[in-house]
Amino acid sequence: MQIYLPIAEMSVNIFLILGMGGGIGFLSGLFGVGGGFLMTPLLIFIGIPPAIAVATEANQIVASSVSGVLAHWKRGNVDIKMGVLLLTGGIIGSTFGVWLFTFLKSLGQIDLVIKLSYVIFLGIIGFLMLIESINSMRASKSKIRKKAHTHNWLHGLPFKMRFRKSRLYISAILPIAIGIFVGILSAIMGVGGGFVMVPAMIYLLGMPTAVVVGTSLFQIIFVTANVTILQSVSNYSVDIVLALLLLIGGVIGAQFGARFGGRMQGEQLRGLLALMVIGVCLKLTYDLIVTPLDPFSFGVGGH
Amino acid sequence: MLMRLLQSSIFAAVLCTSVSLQAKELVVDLSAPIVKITAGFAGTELLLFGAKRGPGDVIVVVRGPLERKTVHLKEKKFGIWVNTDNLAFDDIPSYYWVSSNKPVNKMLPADVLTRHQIGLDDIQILPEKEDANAAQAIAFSAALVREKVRKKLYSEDASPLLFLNDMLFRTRIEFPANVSVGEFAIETYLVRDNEIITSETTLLNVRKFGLEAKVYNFAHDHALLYGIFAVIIACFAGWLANAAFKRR
Repeated sequence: MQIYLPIAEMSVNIFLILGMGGGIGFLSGLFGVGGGFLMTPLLIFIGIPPAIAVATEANQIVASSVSGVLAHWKRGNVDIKMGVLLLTGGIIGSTFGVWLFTFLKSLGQIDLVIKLSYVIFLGIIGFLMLIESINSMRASKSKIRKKAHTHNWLHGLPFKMRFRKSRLYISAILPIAIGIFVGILSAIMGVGGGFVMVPAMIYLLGMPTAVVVGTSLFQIIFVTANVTILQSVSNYSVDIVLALLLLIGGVIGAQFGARFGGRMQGEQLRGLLALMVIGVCLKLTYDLIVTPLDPFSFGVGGH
Repeated sequence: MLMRLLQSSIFAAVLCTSVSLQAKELVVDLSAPIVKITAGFAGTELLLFGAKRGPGDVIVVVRGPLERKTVHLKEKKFGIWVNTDNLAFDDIPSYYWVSSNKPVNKMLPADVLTRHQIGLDDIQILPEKEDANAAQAIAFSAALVREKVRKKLYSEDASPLLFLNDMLFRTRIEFPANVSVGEFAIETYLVRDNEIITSETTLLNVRKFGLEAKVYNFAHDHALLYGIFAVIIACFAGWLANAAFKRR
């Protein structure tokens, strides 16, 4: 059954979109990532204009994150204090990011910047996570207990705060800086930024994995809401019909994902996420290297 | 069945108008004066009917609203494919459809085809920059036409124009789902002895209707409200899903 998307100005198969939403929603609930890093490339792949895909996906991530965060909330896995600091940075970062997006678009290189950022970030993070989760799986088998976290220069920063839920005493500058950075990525790549934030919270801040997922979802809600509104105002590129279809599939999938994730071990989860991140990275690298069918590509308007 | 009924009623209409054919050499009508884009829109087709007086061939050219397109050229740099060059084209037809009872270049000399922009090879696609390299402009505009043909937005002789007798003719015009909205001009030419004897212009309106139009207008007229509304819907959907899945 076909449905016409009023903003994207094209017609799509309704079940294809619902299915994509459901599949990615499941992964989103499972890993605590928005799923945007998979959905945005998929949407572009089925022919949705990139600008619409990026903005609409932000809107959909709002829904899947709300649904996911409620599930984590019940289990007490959201560190509100940490979340508020992260989202303060996130709002600043994403506002700057939407501006940067518009600027890069005017240079005609936004496609390349989007793809290269995907390749670089997914590559580094996926690789690091994979190594780490393999190591910790080995470590837990040989019953050697790792230290909770090590002390380094990051712990010498001022404005120290206590985060009871995360059992941490660290500088407030750290989560704000991570928030800003992830916010920029969020706007440019059309993602929630969970795939960067989750490892940053685990490895840089030293938060316990259980709290990381809920807290990351909590902050993603606000950052993607900010991106949705800014994109609506500056580019008119949020397709509410497409977003609705994606989120119907997405919120249902996310519920199953969160349930399923609760039964799995942290190392296994991280290992799986790492494999998926590397998979998307390899696909995008392949697309950049392989000779395109047509060396010409086309854009509406622009410079 | 419905199509048959429609056809015969249009025939009747055309036959009635053939009275005025005494005065005019060419009369044309469409099965609908408007294309409505609604939620279920997946492309559509219209029938064009006409009557001509005297011998001659007929060409129908449909042109969509003008648009601006940028064509990017990728080249391999440092092992990856990068956009290295681009060219913007102003005022190109977003849609272009030619239908005729025989190939247009067998009816009219090249200069006439060029002057009236009849046929895919004769659409005027000029780069925005006037100092653009001619060879480059040709390569880029050819790429643009290829892309449009792939998307079924440009077409030549996809459906031939049929003569029902010496006087009456009909053809089919197809619009894909990604067709632009706006005013379409349908030009019908009567050709005799390598010359255009007369032409008729019919206007067609392609518009969004119902919910599709409301969403589009809301997004453009009240962008901030629309964005906030989109976020509220998303939050509500997320909460609803969670509530629905709560364990009893």
